[in-house]
Amino acid sequence: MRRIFLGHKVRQLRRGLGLTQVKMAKDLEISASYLNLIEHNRRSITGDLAERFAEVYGIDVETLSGRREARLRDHLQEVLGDELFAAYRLRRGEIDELVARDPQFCLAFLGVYGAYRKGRDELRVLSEHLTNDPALVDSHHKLLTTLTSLRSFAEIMRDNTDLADVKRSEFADIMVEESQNLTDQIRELFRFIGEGGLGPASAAELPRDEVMDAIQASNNFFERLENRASRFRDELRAHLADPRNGAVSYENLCAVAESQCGIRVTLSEVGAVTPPADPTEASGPAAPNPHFDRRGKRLHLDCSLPTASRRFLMLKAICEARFATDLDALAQEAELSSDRAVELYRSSLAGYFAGAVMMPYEDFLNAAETLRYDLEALQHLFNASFEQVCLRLTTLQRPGLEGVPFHFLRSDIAGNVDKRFSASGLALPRYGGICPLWNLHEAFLQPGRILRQVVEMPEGARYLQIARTFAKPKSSYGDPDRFFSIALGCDFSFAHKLVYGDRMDQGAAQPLPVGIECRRCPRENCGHRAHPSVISFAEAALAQGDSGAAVTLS
Amino acid sequence: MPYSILVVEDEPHIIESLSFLMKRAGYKVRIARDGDAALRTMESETPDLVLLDVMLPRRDGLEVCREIRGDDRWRDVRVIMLTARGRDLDRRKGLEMGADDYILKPFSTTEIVERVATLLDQPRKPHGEGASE
Repeated sequence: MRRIFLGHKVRQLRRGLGLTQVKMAKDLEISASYLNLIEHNRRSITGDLAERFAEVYGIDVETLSGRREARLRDHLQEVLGDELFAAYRLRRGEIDELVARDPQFCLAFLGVYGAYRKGRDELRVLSEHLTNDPALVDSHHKLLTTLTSLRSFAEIMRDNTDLADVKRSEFADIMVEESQNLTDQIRELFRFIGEGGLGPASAAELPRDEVMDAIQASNNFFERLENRASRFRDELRAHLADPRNGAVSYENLCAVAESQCGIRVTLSEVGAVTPPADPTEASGPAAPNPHFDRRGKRLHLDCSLPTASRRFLMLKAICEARFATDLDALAQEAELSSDRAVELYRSSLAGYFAGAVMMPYEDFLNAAETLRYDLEALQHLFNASFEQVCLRLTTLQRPGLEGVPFHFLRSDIAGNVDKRFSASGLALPRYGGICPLWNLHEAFLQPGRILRQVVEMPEGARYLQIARTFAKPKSSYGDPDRFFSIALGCDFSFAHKLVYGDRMDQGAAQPLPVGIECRRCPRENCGHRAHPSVISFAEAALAQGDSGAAVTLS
Repeated sequence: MPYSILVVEDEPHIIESLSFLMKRAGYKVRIARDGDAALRTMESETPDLVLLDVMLPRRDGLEVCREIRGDDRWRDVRVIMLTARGRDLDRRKGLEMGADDYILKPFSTTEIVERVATLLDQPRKPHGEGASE
């Protein structure tokens, strides 16, 4: 439990109820001095005490845990790292105070910053667009040509007083004509801009970020979809003579999709020209499924897709066709701001469903614990892809039946992160690039191999991280390759539960001092620094002090 | 014998103003409306200076300039590039291709006349003697 926010919350609760420390302490059967320590963030609330809080004041552990506040704090801290706020450096303690006192204000502030970021990004994209759009380049050229003509005739008339009348009137006619041309060209230009001729200039990042936030807010666990998935799996079993195996085999799913959901499945022929395949996988945010035509209920699969992806996409389509009301309800709860975000969110949820059918919650959790989270073994056991297994692991957050809390990141070869989720406590960057020391990047140098590392964040938290790359399937030789790297990490205290933590927890591996992103990292002398830090030394020292020195820096 | 100028340009009004200006300055003017026509015209009679627009149909001005510089018969021909594109890269590309000067549109008429005169007055660098017919 995070002590930083606990004190504030308890004090707030007590004052809200109009209680003295003595009275509250009595209610909770603890000493007043102990309560005082809690209110000053010097003691945690243990399991028993948390239960008494729940009994006496009806406050649940989740509310007291401060998990939401911690996320808010991390988000605020990242945002305040922007150059924009260089003159208003807040110390970590001050940010905590702010979050504890007025979370609504913080949310509003973050909303404003998000809007500013979107505006800034759009402006950048637009100005790049303005210099490169063929229509605008052409328009620019035409305008300058017309102006050249106008200017030269004006100057000729000014400088040549001896011009013959015939010539003079000929040139004047040209100027009138060119003025008309200029008017038309300007009108055309404005029409082009007004009609949104600038095309897909607006940054598509915002809906994606919004969806990632919504998933994060639900802790990437959706009981409603788990129930749907579990019942659907029972149905699948009923369809088979031998229900033990093959319930989610490709053939069986095909039959169910056609007979029960009216989905027609087609498979592209080898050698046929198809748009690039995009098997959006498992529950993370991704592009909407481009293979499924929801209205026409037609699912088109590319021949290059491996079986795991085919099954996954088929299940996604089934979810969209059969459980549309569930997806709509969940999307409504998430209160997303645009149609595009809703579309993306629904698609991510359909992916969640697919993952939940392929890897049923309890079976998967048990297998993961038994196999010690061996990703490759889990892949074989559930006939799933590496990414599907990783993402399913991040969804194991059912209250009371949790797996190891992981963070997950997916990056392309240029470092663009398109999926991120964190249950491990690590604050993943929203806006900036990731620390170059993370094995997420190095994994590209050893494609397909699982790399592991123990890292230590500047404030002392340690994580075990594994990373591996994969390539998207291709239809044929000529298709461009698409590589991604996935990082999966957990707090180091869980390392002993993972096969990847073996021979690491006896101190054989020194933790690697890393950061999250350069701007927020106080490691001034790091040789891998790509951007200057905005955190001063003094603050770094303070931040370490704040963390209670639970882990000393190496 | 007056100097001869080849105007390579596809916009009729700009052709008209440039030929007026060059004739007024006392030069003999010929016209080509695209890159291929420019090279054909030069084959028949070598001009002293070419006013060469960059954005031309078919073969663009940069390519024409490279052809001119690649042919020893035309080593004394001065080339001034004209372009509406103001990016520094285009200017550098033009000079890299061997242009002697570079003028941005919309140009000042006095400036273009002066620059033409200046280039014609001095021997072309780096090949020495100025051209004469």
